[in-house]
Amino acid sequence: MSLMKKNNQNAVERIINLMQADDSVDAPNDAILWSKNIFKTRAVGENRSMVETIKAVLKIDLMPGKPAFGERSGSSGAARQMLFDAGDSSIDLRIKPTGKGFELRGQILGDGFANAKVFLGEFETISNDQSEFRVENVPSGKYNLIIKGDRTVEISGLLLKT
Amino acid sequence: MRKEKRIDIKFSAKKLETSDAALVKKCRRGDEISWNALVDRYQRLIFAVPRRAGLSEAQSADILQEVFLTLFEKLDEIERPEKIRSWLVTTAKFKTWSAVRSEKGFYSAQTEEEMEFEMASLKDEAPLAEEKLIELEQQHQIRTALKELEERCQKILSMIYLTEPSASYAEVAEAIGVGSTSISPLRARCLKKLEKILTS
Repeated sequence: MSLMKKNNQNAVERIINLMQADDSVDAPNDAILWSKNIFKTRAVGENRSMVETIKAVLKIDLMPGKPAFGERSGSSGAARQMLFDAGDSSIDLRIKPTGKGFELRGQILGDGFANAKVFLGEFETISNDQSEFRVENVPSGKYNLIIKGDRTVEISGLLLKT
Repeated sequence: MRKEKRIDIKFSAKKLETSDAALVKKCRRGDEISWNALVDRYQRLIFAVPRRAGLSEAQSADILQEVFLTLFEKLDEIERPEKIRSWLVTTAKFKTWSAVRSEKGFYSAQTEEEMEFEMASLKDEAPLAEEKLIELEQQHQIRTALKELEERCQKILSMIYLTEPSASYAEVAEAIGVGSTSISPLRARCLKKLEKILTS
């Protein structure tokens, strides 16, 4: 038998063995859907054209009941509180698990974010006159939070999980 | 005990690499359909990495999400889009290893270099041994190549090799509407076509 023919036969044998040993399964549907939905935030980003995006940086992260350094008691309620710096603005986020996922409430502290568009993965809302916003029933996962006001700020990789 | 003969065969699968590269490039241009196709193509392989390392379904789903998030963030920085499979497996391996280490209460490596150093210094890296990862990658290549074949070949090979228990020739013949004596040569021809996609 020629060497090439033998190699081909070995390759076919290898293919058969691998197919028979393949016990992999599909990932859960919600994880697949979440992974697909990430891309929607890119589509939002494409439309931002020349507007500068400011990446927000986490400054304070208070878990429910855990006091910050120097505080006498922890943050009240069951909400996790996070404070981000975004250039000359700050973002105050409160994340609370609910029966149907998470409720995320936030306020942008700084001018130019009243009635701003807020995107969280596939969720979309508009902030009020006080630059406050709320998104409900958000499933667990990692999200990019994008707020488009006079300028755009972004919080990348926001993890929502219990 | 019979020693298993090890066959070192790599699938070059240039056609699949070209198809991967095209998907990545379309994603960069904002094409959501291509992103969805990329997720569909790779979800099973990425999910298999942490599962093979012994992580739970929920932990493995988290890692899958993290890998795709990282890909999304670095989409424009990937230098060789045709090698996206290796990039995804390496990223899944890194995140899996960090999760395993963190679960055991060890310090988690923060960079790929740190992880490689840690892995090299450990005696037992069995959960993510290179051979197992190669096997997973090759199984992925076969599944992807199978989809390139005509429907009849997909059906024949899936019924014979991918179902448990394997279908008999008579069952396959009935499913595709031919005589059972035709199955053996058809199977051989389909395998040949599959091998051609994988090795050319």
